[in-house]
Amino acid sequence: MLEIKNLNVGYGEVQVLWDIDMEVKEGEVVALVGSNGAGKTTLLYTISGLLHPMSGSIRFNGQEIAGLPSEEIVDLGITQVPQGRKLFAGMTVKENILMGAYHRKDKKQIQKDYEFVLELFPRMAERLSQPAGSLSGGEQQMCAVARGLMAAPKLLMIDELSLGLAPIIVENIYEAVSEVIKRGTTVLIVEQDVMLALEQADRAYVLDVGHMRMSGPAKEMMDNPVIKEAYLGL
Amino acid sequence: MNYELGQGLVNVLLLTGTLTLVAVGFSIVWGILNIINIAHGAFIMVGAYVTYWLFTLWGIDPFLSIPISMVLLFIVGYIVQRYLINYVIRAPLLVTFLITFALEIVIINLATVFWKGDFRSVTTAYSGAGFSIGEIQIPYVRLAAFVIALLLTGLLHVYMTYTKQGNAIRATGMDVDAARLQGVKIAHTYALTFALGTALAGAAGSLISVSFPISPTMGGLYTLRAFVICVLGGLGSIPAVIAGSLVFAFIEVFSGVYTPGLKEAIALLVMVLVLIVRPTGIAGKAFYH
Ligand SMILES: Nc1ncnc2c1ncn2[C@@H]1O[C@H](COP(=O)(O)OP(=O)(O)OP(=O)(O)O)[C@@H](O)[C@H]1O
Ligand SMILES: [Mg+2]
Repeated sequence: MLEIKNLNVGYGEVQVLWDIDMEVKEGEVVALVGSNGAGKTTLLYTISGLLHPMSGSIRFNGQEIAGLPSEEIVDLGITQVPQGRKLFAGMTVKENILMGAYHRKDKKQIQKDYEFVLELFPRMAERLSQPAGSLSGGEQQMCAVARGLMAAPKLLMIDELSLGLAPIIVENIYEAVSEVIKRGTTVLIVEQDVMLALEQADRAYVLDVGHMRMSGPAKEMMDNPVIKEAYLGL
Repeated sequence: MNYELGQGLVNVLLLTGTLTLVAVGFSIVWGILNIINIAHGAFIMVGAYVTYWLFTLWGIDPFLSIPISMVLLFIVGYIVQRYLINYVIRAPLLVTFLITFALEIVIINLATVFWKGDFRSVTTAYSGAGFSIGEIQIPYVRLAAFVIALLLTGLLHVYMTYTKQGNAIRATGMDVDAARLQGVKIAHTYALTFALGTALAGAAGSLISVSFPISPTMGGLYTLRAFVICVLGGLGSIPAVIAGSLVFAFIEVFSGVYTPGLKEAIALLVMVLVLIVRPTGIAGKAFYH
């Protein structure tokens, strides 16, 4: 579904990602892990078209998307729940959630998805007319995931969902995400919390200061001594 | 009631309508695009001349020419943003500030060359007419301008709150990257926002032309007023513009009665005081809703 080859990305002159290769197959849950500043967000922004790569290729269902404008990439079915949530703070929860469906025209299905999303996050249903900026951190993350789902993505990328949230809330939101996965959405999970990501995923990639260090089945990664030492603190 | 006070309050109210329309386009462009559009008053001037010429050449009623001046200035605004300002939109505020400053000078120069520097006015058959409540005089044209100004402001509010494009504009103002991630076309949305601003400036110009004399250099004062109103009311919401306009109209009318020569100076002084006491403006910071 998503195939990245020899991707190089930077900010101006400063290169941040070097020769990245990565693949996400349809129906898979893939984790991308790595410590602070490794370049995970940079990679997701590049996939979404917010950043343009210096060189390399990103293919989505066979089509080259590297360098396409972001709105075309959303149209093709790639959506992300960005790091820091990036909600529209002055808009209501409902407006935020519906912004996720901005690029869609299938009104009936949008309505169905909207109902599904509110079932998934009953707390959002209670807060529809509240400004998103006034939500608690956990609620904001729910709102961000709900907005992402409203795009009806084929590939959903979630960046640092757990950051700054209580474990119980994180578990709660990941349960909702696994509901979405069951329905067939392909998911790319980005986390600093390596154990958490590996628990969710089928396969995982380890990004280390701009280089793809390792990849493999998530189960094997959990037992890998290098991972254990470097990321799990065992 | 004291006559002078009553007439003054009515004048404040009428002026508030016009000022709201003068400032609201300036406010959305500033709030959403982070551009202080120095050319705003020049667009108002163009709107005034559209109405003037349509009336003078073809006898088109000034109120009927409002949609025409809005459409024309919408197109101009869209092109200016899309093919000029968009190229530097990520640059610091000073860059867009200078570009709109240059734009203002170009527009005023062209207007002076083609339309001469003289003052002109739109005088219709009903221009002097009005009615009175007790001793308080209300000219029809001022009342009509008031109603139309509030109507257009209301329409803008509905557009921004309830339409998909309006929501995209607000979203863009709050977080450009997040808006792009939802599939919002940014270049188009920026252009649309600026075009709304210029279209509203055009409408304001049309309304002003029925009550006040017009000239190519009339706009600077309106840019200044719009600026002060945005600072007074606070940036980012339509109610804030109305609040700012009300305060400004109050100062202008009553300082006009008691200290005629100092209207602008007093308005600016109040602006400075507000900046010190309440830097977010009277209505505080909000985003277009
Ligand atoms: N806008 C930017 N301009 C310049 N450099 C940037 C910018 N954003 C990120 N960087 C740099 O790029 C590198 C990778 O950052 P990135 O945010 O992609 O890492 P990350 O893996 O997502 O980190 P985190 O886990 O902290 O979110 C860092 O060294 C960072 O300083
Ligand atoms: Mg990150």
